[in-house]
Amino acid sequence: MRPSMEHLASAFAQRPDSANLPEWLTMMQNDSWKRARSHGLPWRKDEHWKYTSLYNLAKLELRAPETPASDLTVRGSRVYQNDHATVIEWRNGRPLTSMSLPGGVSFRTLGGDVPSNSDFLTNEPARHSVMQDINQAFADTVCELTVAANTRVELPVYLLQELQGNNVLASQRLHINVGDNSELDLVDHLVGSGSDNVNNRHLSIFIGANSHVRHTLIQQDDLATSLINNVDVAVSRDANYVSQVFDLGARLARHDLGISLNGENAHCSMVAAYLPHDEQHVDHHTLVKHNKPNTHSEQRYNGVAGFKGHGVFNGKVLVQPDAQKITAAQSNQNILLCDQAAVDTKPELEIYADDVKCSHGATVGQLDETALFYLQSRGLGKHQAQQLLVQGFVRDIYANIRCKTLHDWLDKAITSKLDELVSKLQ
Amino acid sequence: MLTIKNLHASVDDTPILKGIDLALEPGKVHAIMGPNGSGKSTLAGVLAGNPRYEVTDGSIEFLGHDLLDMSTEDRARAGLFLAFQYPVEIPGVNNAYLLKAALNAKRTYNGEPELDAFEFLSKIKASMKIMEMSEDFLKRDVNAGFSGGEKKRNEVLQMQMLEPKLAVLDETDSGLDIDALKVVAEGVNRLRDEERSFLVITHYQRLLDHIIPDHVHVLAGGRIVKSGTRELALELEARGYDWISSEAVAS
Repeated sequence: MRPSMEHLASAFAQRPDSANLPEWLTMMQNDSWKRARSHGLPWRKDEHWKYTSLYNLAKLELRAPETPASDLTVRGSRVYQNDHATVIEWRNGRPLTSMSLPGGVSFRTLGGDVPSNSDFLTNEPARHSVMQDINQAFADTVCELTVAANTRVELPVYLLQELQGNNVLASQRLHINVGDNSELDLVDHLVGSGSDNVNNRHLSIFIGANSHVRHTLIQQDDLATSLINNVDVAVSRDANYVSQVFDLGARLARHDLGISLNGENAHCSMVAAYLPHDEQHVDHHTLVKHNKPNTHSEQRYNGVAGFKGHGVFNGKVLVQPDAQKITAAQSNQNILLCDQAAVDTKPELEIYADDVKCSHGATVGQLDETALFYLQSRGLGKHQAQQLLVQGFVRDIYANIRCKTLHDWLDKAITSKLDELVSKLQ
Repeated sequence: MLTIKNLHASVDDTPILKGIDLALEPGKVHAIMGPNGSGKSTLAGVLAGNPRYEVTDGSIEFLGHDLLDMSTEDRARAGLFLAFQYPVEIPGVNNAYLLKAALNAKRTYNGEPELDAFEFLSKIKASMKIMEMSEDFLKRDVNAGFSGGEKKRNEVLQMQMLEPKLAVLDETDSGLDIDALKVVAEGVNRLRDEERSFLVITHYQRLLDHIIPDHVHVLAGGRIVKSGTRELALELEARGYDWISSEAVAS
């Protein structure tokens, strides 16, 4: 049986301020809700939800968030202080204060009778998911971040999102539009606290010709928070999208990353490190569509599953008939730290062109016993040796991050997370 | 220093060592030679505590400790060092980090304060000079992408940093050209003193031209079948191992 939508339906009926929204937004919400309702929540018989169950999520008596107060109270540490990044703060899916933006960058909330330049609301994503419909049904603040053509944004744009309260369904909807010949460093930091909150977000990103976007997502929700992270990216010719995802928290984290390489010489590089333990479930679903010739994609997903941790990787590369001379490389490597850890991995290639270079590989294994013995024979304790090996495996994913602030922050956060994973082994 | 009595050990239930007796005094270099499959590497692995090997009988005493009762890391901290026949590549862990962690683990075990960054760097730079290793080595990952010679030099470098009381060299010479062999031997010889003992395991006599042993033992079929002085190694070089094996069978 599909998970019930009963609680979502009452949350939809009781969402606050629905009377004050612009008409187009209310219409969009209603249409999206109808689509979601007629499909139902995904479940294991849907191909892409085989390993990830939403039953627990469906049992939560969720409600749309109240209008936020003004200040963030982020637990833990921020990656950037205000003078080292352009900070855009969010709570429960809505942007907070007005911020000062660098030249060439603008941020707006779509309102008024008819929103202008809002094609992104109707564009077909690389892969459609019901969770996107549910996001659109609940999102009452649709935001757009625009980087004008020929703009190199010097400081990173730091999206810091907090979840607070209990039983909140946050529905962040953000479109990022990067003009031609521009460069943007986006650091997306999710810090969920409270209890039984769900973050069902949808980011769409358009990257104009010859532009570069580096997108780092740090997911640091606490164990009572669930994350459904829908990211859809369209990459134009000669442009480059880099995705770096670090899963450091959440009870359930589901990532749907869809990338369309829409122009020749478009490139995307996707890496992730996920470290589930203690009933945590992390699921990475990726889809790269090579729609044009000479496009390139790389994926490196490294997982370490600790005690009662479950990781899922499903990476698909789709090569369209005319997309000759493309290269696509995909790797998913996993280390299971104990018997009660599990990983399901499924790399998929679907190729309709005949002159392509595609590779994929997936491994699931334990820590290398010989390497462990080598380190112990140098005097390192067993835990320290385990931690060092696991850290080396994960460091491979973030070693090349050029921003020292970000690199060092991640190094510290990941080290302490791995310490936690390893210390729970007997 | 080290007293091995009636040591029996197996790999996957196959007996490899069948009663080894050996005693090392402080400051002495003992060489263990023997044909392939005689149990040389098993002996090295058992001394260091490799979990692949199961000790089925016998005892090993090391500086007054029951060695077999100690974890691998405690053996290392107490002063036993194994130079691996095949040093392991560890991607993502750099040499400086490993050496510092190893050194400090040992110092903490022995009740000494940890080294500060300056002391550590001056110590390691001195060792790198002896081993003819370039500065970028410190930032490289442990043995990852190293040539065979670089890996062996790295083993000896680690040994110099850790200053063990007993060093076991497991075929450290195998696969080295003569220049690399000389660097490795020089690295070992610099550490020789009245206290420190060495157990040099080798298949070839050549290494013993550069590291002069006090005693030479021949291991065959899991037992020490002959012991002697350096001349024994030369004789083995000239006559091969067969005469020893047949002599052992005859007796």
